[in-house]
Amino acid sequence: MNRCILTVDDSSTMRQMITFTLKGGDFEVLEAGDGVEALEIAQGKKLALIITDVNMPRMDGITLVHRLRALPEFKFTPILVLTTESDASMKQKGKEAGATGWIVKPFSPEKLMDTVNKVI
Amino acid sequence: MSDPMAQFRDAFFEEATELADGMEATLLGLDLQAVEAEDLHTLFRAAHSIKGNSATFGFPAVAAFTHKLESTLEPVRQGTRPMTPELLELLLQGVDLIRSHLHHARRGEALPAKDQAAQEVLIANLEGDGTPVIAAPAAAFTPLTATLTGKGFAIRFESPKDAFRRGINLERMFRDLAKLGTLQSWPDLRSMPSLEALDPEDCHLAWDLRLETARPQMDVDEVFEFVAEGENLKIQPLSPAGSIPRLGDILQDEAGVSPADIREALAQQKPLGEILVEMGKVKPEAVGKALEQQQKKKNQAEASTVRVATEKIDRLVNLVGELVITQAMLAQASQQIHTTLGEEQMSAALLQFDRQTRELQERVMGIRMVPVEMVFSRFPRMVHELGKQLGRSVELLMEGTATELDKTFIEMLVDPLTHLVRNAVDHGMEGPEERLAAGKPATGTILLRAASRGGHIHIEVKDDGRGLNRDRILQKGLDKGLIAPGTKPTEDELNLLIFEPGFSTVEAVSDLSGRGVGMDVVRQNVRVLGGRIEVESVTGKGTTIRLVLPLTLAILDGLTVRVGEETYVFPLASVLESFQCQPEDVRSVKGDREVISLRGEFIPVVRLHNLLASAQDHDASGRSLLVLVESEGRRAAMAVDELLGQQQVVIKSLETHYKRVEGISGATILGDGRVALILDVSGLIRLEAGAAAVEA
Repeated sequence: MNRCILTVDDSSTMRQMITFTLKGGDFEVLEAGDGVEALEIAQGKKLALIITDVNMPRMDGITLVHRLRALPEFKFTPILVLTTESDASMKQKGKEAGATGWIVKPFSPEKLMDTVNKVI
Repeated sequence: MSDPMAQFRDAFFEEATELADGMEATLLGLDLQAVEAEDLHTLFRAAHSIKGNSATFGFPAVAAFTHKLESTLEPVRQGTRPMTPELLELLLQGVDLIRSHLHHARRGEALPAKDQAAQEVLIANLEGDGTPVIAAPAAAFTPLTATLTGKGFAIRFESPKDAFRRGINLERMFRDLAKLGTLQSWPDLRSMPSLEALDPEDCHLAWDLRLETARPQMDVDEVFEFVAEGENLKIQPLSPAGSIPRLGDILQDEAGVSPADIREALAQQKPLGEILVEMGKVKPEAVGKALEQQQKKKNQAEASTVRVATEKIDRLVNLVGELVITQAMLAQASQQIHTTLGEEQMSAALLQFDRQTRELQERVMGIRMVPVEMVFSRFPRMVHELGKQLGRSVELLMEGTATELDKTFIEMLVDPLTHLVRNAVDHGMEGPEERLAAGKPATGTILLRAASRGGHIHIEVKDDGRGLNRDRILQKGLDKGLIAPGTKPTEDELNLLIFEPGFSTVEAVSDLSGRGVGMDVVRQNVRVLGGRIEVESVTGKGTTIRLVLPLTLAILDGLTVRVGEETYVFPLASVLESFQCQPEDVRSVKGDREVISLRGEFIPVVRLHNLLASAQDHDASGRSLLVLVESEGRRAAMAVDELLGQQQVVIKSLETHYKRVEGISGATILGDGRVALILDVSGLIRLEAGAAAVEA
């Protein structure tokens, strides 16, 4: 089974925390610092899940979701967005772009694992 | 309490209802010419809180609907969408729907199909471009409420159409759900389009699920977190263990009938009232009335809790603490009662005990007291709607809404006040042209006022309308036989005539005021509460109807009197004065009827000895001690043997312990342990008048 997850965040601490947690859950983790980099890394790969922040330089998370869904290989791949608050409009925007779900920041490693397990 | 969440849920419902009431009040108070930004923020915050709380407490349907209102209010509050009269009406309807949601959610019921339809129309209107959307014929969708016994949830889930495109793993979701307990599922493929029309990337699936689990609903909500869009997910608790399962539930369980089929079958079933109407056995209005009555009973059954300010409870706790200390003081003093010091201590402690007992009594009674606002708050909306319907511009002012009243009173006052306010708008108020012609402002004013006055609560409904037409009342009274021909009733008597059963001066009863609840209901309820009605009316200037009520039902300020060997209590509220009179002051008329002339007015004398058939050895000197009483505008002088004093008495119902006695409203226990009867003054006057009529 494919256990490769791409995590996209401009904050390196956040990426480290996510990577650390997911590796503990026996996942292989790739990291990207923004949407543009994420698209480059994702190119041609088989991913089980993409976790992306929303506010990032060069390309934000919502645009990234749009772009990924337009690619045939990521049409049905689960994508989670990280939102800073329980902001209904951001969840809605994510949903409309085609995101599978969301994780509300701040979150604990357990919450992250629970949510990941919910979608794959 | 078996379910610890239940008590929080009650608090949630109360808070949410209050928030909805607040929204309504704010909406009604909006000045559309100059909308206050703060009001809009208040509205938004209220909607937001209801949404958040109902989601937290597991009422997703309420949350989803309030969310729509919140999203409507957002641009309004930002100033990008104007607040129009149309929008105001829609929002008011929204508040009604929130109430209905809360009402049914509290009973574990789904929103009735009628409201469901209304909600869809309302949402379409709120989200539309302003072209009004009109209700489609009621959808035949009766949601299945609960399933077999046991703990758990009945779930209806319609997948979002874009589930596949969002990479949602439905299978995974069901597996997670099954981890929570025993899961049964019935797929519903009815909304699946034909193969040619099918876009394989769209998801058209729906399920009816039954999950038996002891886990809280939160866990179930969690599973559906990414796919719940409000209306597509309905989660209802299964009926509690011990209740009898419904036929549909058993068939679903044993015979494999799907919930969707049961729903369809139920939709074909017509309500009893509808069938009876079709059979021609009953008129639709009668069914409507019966339903209203049923609803009322339901409401009565539930409203038996009272919210008490923590401050009041703290004070009680302190008092009990003080009582414990006093008890210790008494115990200590009793051990050395033979010494002077002990005696002093004893009397000091007793004094303290007396004060504390009295305070405790007052405070405990205070728990039952709730602000009159609880009744008043419904009227702004009612007046608004009525005025609109009748083409009258009416402003409602309220004063003294913080005045506290016994909870029982509040409940009993709803109907009378509703009637009085309706009446004021419907009959009391003139149309705008008539008002302008009379030199009054086009907008009429109704003032609802509550005030505490000397041991009584006064509640007034005051309008600046046309006033009572006493000529017409007199004519009507004669026609209906309520006034004996030849008598000349006083102004007060005429005013009070409108409260007589069967009295109505309006020939064509409007559907608003004439709902079969006449003004006599007002009098009836006020009388049950031990109060009285006063009417002041000036032609062309307006009418004031005042309900004068005792502070509480349980305690009465009384005048104790002796008649023969018995002690009786007059309610102090009906006593005007007492005086001694000489035998020659009392004149006999029509044989043995007696009257006394008091400041030019002839007042009938009632000999309580005779009426209550009690005493033998009353004062034979002929001198009489008379107590002048008044009730419902009629006066009488009651002859007694001795005035014993004035005191507060605790009322005990005679009816519950013995039976109803004409002329007696209850009983009380005196300080020395003897029982004294409390006199019902208006009953006594009626009794005396009846006796007179028989003898004449």
